[in-house]
Amino acid sequence: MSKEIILMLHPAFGVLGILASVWVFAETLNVSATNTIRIRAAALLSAGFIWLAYIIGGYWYVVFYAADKALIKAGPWPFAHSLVMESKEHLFLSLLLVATLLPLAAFANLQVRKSARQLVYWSALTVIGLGLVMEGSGAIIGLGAKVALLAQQAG
Amino acid sequence: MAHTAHSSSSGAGLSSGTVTTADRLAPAFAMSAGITSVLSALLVVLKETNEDTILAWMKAATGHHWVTHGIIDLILFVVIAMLAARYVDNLEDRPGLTIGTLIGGVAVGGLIIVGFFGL
Repeated sequence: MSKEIILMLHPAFGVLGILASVWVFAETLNVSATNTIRIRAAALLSAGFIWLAYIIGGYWYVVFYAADKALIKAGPWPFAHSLVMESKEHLFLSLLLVATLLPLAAFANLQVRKSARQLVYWSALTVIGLGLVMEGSGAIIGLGAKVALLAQQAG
Repeated sequence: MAHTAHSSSSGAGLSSGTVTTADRLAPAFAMSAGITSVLSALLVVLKETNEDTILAWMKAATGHHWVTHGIIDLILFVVIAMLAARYVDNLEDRPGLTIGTLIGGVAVGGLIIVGFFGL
């Protein structure tokens, strides 16, 4: 598999994880005996997709990122690595924890316990928020590499 | 109506029925996620400011410091959750504590990381 495909799978699974969390949130607003299984399935899907995004992105970061890192740091947007990538790679660990929490929260007694539903809402919202931050950060890092290549061509 | 069961519980809608393992563990892991996020951010500062010792050890341990960092976080996540489930009373009925720790911890951890690399 080419490294470009690996790189594209990382944000793709991230988006799927975000969408599954939105699904969890919406279903939990209308929790009943009939949709509890969907809430739990969507929560498991969200966690699975975020873990896949982490493993694939982590593999790409460890194996392939060094060349891009050098390029970005020498280009006009060095902050795309020094601030954005450095923050992203460590913030992702919090996202991973909350994504793992989401199915645990979804398996509580949501129909009866308000506190359990509240935890699902906030966990899902955190996954959505952090996920969007990760997607945006990835776009900035990609642009950092692009402007560095353009600067090389112009030079 | 789907929410009939909710309104029939206590005034706060918190306590009703048997407390299951998931009812108890979920808030414990929520607290742990918040606390681990802060500890993880502090580990970022620690390793980045001690490149010859801590960062070098983290690289040597697994081949990449980020992998070691992830493993440490996962161990902390499980251990802190187990401790919270064991020692914090009535976790399942304290959403303010658990959600506050979760959101506050993730926010503080994020601010430490962004502040460290941004300043």
